Amino acid sequence: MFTTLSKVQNAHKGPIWSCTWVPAQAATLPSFVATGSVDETVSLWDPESFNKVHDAKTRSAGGLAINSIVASADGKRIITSSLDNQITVLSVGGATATLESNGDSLVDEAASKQKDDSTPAVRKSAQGDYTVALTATHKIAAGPAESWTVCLSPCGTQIASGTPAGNVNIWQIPPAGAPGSVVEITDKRTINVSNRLVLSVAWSSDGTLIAAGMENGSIALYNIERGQPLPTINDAHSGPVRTVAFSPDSSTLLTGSDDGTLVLHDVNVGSKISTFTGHTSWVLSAAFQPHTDTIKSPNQFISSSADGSVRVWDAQGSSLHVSNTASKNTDSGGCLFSFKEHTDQVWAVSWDPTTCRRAVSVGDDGAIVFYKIN
Amino acid sequence: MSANFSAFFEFPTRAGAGAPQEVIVFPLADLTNDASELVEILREECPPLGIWRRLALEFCRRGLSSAAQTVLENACESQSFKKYVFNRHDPASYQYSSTSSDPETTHIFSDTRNEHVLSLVSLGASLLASASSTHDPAEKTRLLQKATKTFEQAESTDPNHIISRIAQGVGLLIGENIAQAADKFLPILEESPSNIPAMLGMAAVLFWRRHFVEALELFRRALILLPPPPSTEELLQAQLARRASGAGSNPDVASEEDLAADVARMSAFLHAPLNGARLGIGLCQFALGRLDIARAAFRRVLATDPGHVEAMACLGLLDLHTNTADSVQQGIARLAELFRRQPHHVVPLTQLAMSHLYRGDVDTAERLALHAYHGAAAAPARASAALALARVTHHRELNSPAPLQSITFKALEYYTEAARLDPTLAEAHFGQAQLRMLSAEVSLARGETNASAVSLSHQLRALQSASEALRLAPGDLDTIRLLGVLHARVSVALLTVNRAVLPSLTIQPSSSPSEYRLAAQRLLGESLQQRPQDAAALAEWAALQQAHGRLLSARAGLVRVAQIWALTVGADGQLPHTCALASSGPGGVPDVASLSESECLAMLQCEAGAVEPISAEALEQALKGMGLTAREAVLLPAELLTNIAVLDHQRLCDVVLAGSGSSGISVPGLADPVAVVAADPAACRALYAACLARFRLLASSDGQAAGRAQLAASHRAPTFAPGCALPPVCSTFSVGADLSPCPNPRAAWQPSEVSLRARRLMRTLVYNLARFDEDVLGDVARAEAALEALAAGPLAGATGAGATRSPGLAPDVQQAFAALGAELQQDGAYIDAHLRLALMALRRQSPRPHDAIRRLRVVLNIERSHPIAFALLAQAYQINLSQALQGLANSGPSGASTRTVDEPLQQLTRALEEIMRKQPDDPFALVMFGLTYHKLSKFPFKQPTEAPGAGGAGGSGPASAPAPGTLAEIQAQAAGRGVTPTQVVQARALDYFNRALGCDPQNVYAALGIAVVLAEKGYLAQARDILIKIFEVNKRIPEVYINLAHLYVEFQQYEHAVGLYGRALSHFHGVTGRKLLNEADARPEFLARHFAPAISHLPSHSPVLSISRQFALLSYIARAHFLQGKEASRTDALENAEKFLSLALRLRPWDQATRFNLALTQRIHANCVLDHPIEERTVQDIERARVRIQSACATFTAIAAAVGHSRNRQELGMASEHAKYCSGTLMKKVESSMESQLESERDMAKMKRELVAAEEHARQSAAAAASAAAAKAAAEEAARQETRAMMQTAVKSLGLADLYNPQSSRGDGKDAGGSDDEGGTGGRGGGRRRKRRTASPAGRKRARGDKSGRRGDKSSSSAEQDDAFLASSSDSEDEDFLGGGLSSADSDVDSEESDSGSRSRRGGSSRGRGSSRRGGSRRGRADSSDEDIDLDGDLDDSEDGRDYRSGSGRRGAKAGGRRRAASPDGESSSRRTSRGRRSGGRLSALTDSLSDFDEDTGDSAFDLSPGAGTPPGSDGEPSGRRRSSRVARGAADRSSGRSSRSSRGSSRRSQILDEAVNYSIGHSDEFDDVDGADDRLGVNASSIAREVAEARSLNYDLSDVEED
Repeated sequence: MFTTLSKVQNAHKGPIWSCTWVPAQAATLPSFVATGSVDETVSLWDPESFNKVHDAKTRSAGGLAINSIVASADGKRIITSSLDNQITVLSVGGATATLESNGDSLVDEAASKQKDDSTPAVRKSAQGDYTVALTATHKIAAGPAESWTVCLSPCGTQIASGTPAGNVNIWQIPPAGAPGSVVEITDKRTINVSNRLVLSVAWSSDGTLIAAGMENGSIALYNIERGQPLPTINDAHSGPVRTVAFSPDSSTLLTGSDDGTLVLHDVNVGSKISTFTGHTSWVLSAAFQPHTDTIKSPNQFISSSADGSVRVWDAQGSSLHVSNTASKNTDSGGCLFSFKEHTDQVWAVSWDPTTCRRAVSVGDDGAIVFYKIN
Repeated sequence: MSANFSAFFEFPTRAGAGAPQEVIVFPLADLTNDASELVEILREECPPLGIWRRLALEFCRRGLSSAAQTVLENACESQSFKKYVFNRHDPASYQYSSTSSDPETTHIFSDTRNEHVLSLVSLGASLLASASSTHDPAEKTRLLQKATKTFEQAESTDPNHIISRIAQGVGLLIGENIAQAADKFLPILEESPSNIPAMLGMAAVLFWRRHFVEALELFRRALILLPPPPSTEELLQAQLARRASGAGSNPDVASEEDLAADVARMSAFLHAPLNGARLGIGLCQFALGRLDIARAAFRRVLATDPGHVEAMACLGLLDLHTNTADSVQQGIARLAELFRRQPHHVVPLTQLAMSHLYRGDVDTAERLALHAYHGAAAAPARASAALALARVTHHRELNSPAPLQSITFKALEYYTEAARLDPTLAEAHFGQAQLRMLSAEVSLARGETNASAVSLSHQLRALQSASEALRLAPGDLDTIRLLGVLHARVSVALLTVNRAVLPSLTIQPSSSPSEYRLAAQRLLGESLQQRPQDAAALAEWAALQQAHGRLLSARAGLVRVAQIWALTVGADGQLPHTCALASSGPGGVPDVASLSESECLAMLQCEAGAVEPISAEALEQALKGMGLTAREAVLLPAELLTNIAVLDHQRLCDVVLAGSGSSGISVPGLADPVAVVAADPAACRALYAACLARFRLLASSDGQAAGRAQLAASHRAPTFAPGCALPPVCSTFSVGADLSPCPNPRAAWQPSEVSLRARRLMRTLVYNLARFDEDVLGDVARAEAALEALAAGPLAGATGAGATRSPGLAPDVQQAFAALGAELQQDGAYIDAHLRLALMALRRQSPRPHDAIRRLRVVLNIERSHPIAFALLAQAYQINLSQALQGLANSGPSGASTRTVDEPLQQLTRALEEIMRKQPDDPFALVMFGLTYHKLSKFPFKQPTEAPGAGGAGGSGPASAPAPGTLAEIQAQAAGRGVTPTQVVQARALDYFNRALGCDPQNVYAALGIAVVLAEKGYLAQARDILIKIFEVNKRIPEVYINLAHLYVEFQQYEHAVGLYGRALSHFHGVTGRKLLNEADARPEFLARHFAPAISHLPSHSPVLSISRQFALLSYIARAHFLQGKEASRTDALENAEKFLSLALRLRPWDQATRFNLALTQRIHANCVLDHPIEERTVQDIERARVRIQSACATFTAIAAAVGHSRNRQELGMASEHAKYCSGTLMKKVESSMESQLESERDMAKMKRELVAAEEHARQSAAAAASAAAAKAAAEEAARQETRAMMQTAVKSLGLADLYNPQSSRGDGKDAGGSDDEGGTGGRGGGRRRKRRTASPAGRKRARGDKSGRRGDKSSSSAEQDDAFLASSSDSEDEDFLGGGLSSADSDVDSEESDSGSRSRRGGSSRGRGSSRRGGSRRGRADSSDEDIDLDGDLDDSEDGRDYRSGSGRRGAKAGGRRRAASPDGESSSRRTSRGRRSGGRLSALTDSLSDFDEDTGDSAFDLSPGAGTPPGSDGEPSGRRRSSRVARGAADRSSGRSSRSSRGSSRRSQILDEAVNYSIGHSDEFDDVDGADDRLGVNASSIAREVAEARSLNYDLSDVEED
């Protein structure tokens, strides 16, 4: 069953380019959806009530858009990267939030407002009341175009990001500094995977592999444990690879490209398993359904495209499903459903890692859409 | 009178001399047709003329008219005639009567001349009688002439004799000279109103003129006036008496029968005048529609004259006309009888012919009709005979087994002849209309040159004929229907026809397609109201609706058609034409009639499954949508279902385009807002598949009667309305029950033909399915696989199996397609599939369209001159050409070989010429030519002075003339004319665009091309005017928006520009844009384009294209914001620029140009903030500025670091300079500003504190005062006022915070400047500053010059840059706008300095207004901005600086610079010369350009005459200047090697600057033009070509789709 739960219009003052589902922190905070926008802010949303629970404006960047955002598995960290090549590590705090309006740090508008109004920003959620705060703890001044997409290692301690020269930089996140201070991370390890601009990176959930999608349509795999590159898949796509995503069992890699196709690769052999066609424009983002206790072997993934649609696919194959909702379609090749809620490019999609039954998408139309996918 | 009836003819012998007169008695019963014996006697005896005439009369009475004529001829030659013998013998007995067919005349004369005249007239009359009964036109003419001569002789004998005039009139009537006859009769009637012959004659005239009422009146009067002839009894008595008297002499003849016959003959003869009047009355009444009276009149005639031919004919016609079975039979019988008696009479012949035709005896019918036609004398009779013949031929041609294409249209000639002979014959017009409609179809089917135009003109003629028919027979349902159909077809044809051919049509459409549509709807509606079961008319109506994009109505119509058919099926499960399939199903086809519903469904599923699996649900859903059962679906014509599927397909496309997605309900722009039923993709697909299954059945059942009958059934056989005699009524051919003109509707289907046609239809269905996958489902891979399967055939070896090329498909699908391909390939390649694949290949934007070209060559091998193939080929070559141009530009001046350009150029030219050979003045080809030459105008031609050398190197020597259409030829022409090659190609481009516009005044692309070329030549205002005009007419073309916006940018109207860009963005790109596209006014066009196979594809459907344009638009918007922000120092605009650049960067993260621009914007933004007065900024602002600068610096550094990877060193060098500047000067500035800002804020805080303290103090004192005495109140008030004043002062001083520390801030700035300016000297800085100031308005000009220089020069064009930065993207559009992006960035860098000068002035003055106390600060500001300029100067000229110093003046410095750049000495001097010539010949350049302008645009559709809007000077000058500067630049570029780019660039810049200084300033607007517009045309080129190609394709393809 595929239903649209809610559509938040004009969620940001501009196009929204990134989103991630922040897992709940056990007993302290429920899960959120974090979105990053051209309006330079990161916002947190309650996926139950669909209300905004937090706004954080990054000012350190000198005013450029946030184009990538990921959350750690424990829900305690959010990593953002912005167009001005800053990568910021934000800690998600559950208690009272106090943020210094240090020039280099993140200015928490909600927090400062809180100070002025001296009323606590208590949010109602299904799990209860809570306050939430984002604190910048680390920052990385990446080189130009070296922060196009960021990803986190499964343990959440390493940040990877591609560079225009075909490298992947990996930063180890050190322990946070004193409260209020922002630690600048400068130590990095650089692995070379290609000689083309790396548009997308992903870290397999078993922590062994890093995948990078290149601007020329090729895909590189790198065994980070052994420190050795795997053969590059050159003919994967005919257009820039905007998104790479590992399956939960790390055995397959999903890539989406400007050529409008999604391709599933076997990472062990480096061969193509199947191609998914149906999007009529660039594929901008794709995500595998995460693995949970209830879903032992997930085989669905969602993708978003510049054609304004979000599609749900059956990774296994090409059976024909016709649902009885309004927009039934007969797409072959495993497309289970096509949501058409957005009116412009859909830049990012993300699964709810807890229930694995919900997903969220954001796009240039400034809307956030929540879906239920069974 | 009784004497007339004597049995003997007697006459006296010639009175000899004294001899007694004898009487010769001749028994009349002995009269035979051979009068020679009698004549001999008469000649001998020479009796008076009266005797001769009497004898002739006797012959006449007995019907022996030839004998009578002989007698009369002899009389007129006899002695008695010559001698004027006067004989009064029995004058009363002389009587003349013409034959029955003529108005009777009876006159008695008593005078010699009279006798003479009478004899002549009698002779003439008998001649007339023969003439009117003859069937030989020549003979008739001869007789008539003879008669006329006789009459003239008679008249000359006695000019006053009335009878000769009457006779003449009658002769004229017979000769059908109605007007002259009227001239004869009218005066006679005026003289003697009761002259009966004249009356009858005049009545006949009136009848001819269709004044039936008046004619009737005259006939009546004549009838009354005519003396009653003796009754039959009297005649009988007289005859008996005569018999008695002569019994003795010849008793044998007196049998009863003879007697009766004699009496009848006599009676008929005597009644002839009366009967003439009666016949006239009957005919008039008939014409007036009073059939009963007419019948009575004819009966009356027949009563007195049973052998009266005309009466019989009329009565027969009347019977037929009554249109009941009995009467028709009776009428036929009557006519048969008449035919027996008068085998040459036209009426029975024609009518019997028709009757035989209806009975199906075509041969007999044709014989009869031919006989009638050749025998008919009078025009109306001839007309009706021609009509009959036409119908017979019509029928025969339509039913002949020969293919439709070979139809001769003999019938049309007959119809036309009939209509010419009798313009009132509605049937003839109707038939003409029918046949012309048919010929329209045939000419389309034949695929002649200009087929669509020819067909349209046929249709328009048909329309005329049908309108005429309807005018003549108002309310005739068949005519209404035909007219409706014709209106519908004309409307459709007008929508699809190539507009350029319209003016060449011999007949012009009288109104717009939509008006035709309305008329068609009205007429067809009227017809359908009367005949609701008229499926063919409904189908026609549906086709009309479809063409006009009213898909729902169309679908409703077709579904209704299906239901009508289904009804006939349902009655007894059998339909005459489909029952065959149902009943005779041996072999492959099961007996459908006995199948159950579910079995039918299963059969369809099974058949379809082999190719396209369909689910039973979906199929049932689809059929339910049409109210049909599966069984009916099996029985109905599959073409009909296919067409419904096509309609659903179209609607689904709309939904997809509308992007309405899940809701799918409201598709704006659909004419029928009524519950836009969401078409169901599954159902539509199922329907297609079902149709495919049907055709598969047919194709497999080779040789089955079933198939034959079924396919034949899809074309209605010609049917005649039974018993419909007089009205035309036969809808002789199908109006297209299934929308699909079958190639041979007439033939009996041969088994092989059935399967062939079925297979063809299968192919079209597979094609449609592929299109469905592509259009609706967006499954391009699958579509391609299907098309490959279709296309394979001869190409199979070349491309490999289709399946291997589409790796995304499941193996089973691939197998299915492979099987399908094998099944379908036996009929050869399917051209549409090739074309579509070629188009897809073109769309894929592969760098070299080899694939497309190869495919197109295949197509052309199959069909030699396929216009669409040529059009696509031209596009492919154009892509090649632009790549060659780009490659040439990249390879630099040394490695340039024009051959790489010449080859695609010539190929392109050939392809276009091929198109134009078939259709001269084809707008598409013309526009393509224009675009090609426009592209070439960006080509860096060598300077004319160098041309010979270059030509010698490249070509085979100056002696051989360069081949036409090559660069060498262009250069030669340029050299010949003394202009630059660029001008030549520009002029050619303009010429082609103008020609295209001349052929098709509506051609937006031609107008757009003109606007762009004009803009490039510097006629900005005119270009803008044209664009605005286009914009008013057509809002659907993004290029118009964009180019207009570019121009607004040039005019510095940034808000306008941004607004337009934004509209373009929202209208045409992204998902939302598609919705708006659907609202576009010219919807049918759009739809049709969308639907033409092979070619059409919505641009926005192609994702990459759309998004790359989106990227371009974002860059443009950013640029406009940037320029605005920079010029007005508006941080908000700069922020917007940053935002839009971010958006662009998000789309193309790898785009260095955008990164550069973003960094630049950040830098300027920061600069801007730093330049803000302290009171308008905060520490945070400065902090952010710092971050911006850092970010910009990082970007610049990174770009500069990428030097090694890029050929584009100039920009990179600039980047490093920028980086240096950012990290050095700007950072220092940031620090100082920060310091001062902090200081000021500290001060401010202090002031605030003081203020608070003061207030506190005031409050305290007030409190104190309150407790004190009231007397002190005044004093306290004073104190408070004082406090206020203090506060105010404090506030003011806050604003002047910088005054507190002027030294520190300014000093720092100066230091920074000084440190950075080490290379230069102070004096130089000042000097340059001055110069720059003067030049500042032209600063942008210089920038653009630089820009265009780069664009134009091979060494450093944007193309090169793209290559460097954008290896993966190679479509021309990208290059262009990316180049634009970079160039704009570049120009920003360059122009920034000059602008900062003006900005500082502006800032200074505003501050001056603010407060007089700020004088010092203002000066400080000015200083600081001066420093800015210096810095910038360094930035620009850091390497050149030395030269400036060493040289005495600018020019010298430059020359030195060039020399340093390793150019030969002669080079610079030559260039200097050219410059001198240029400045000296400025006026001539101006006039040149003006005259160019004149000839170029003189005949354009727009009012562009120079001087209309702007003074000529401002128009001409820039172009002249541009030209010269380009020449100069070219020289500079070649001379300076690639060793030191930045120096070259800067020398160029300064050189241009010089020009600007030399010339008057103030034309910056015009001068500063259009690179944006340049950029656009790149986009235009391909998209225009595409659009045009798509527009063209309609002509060829729509029918095909329909057939599908």
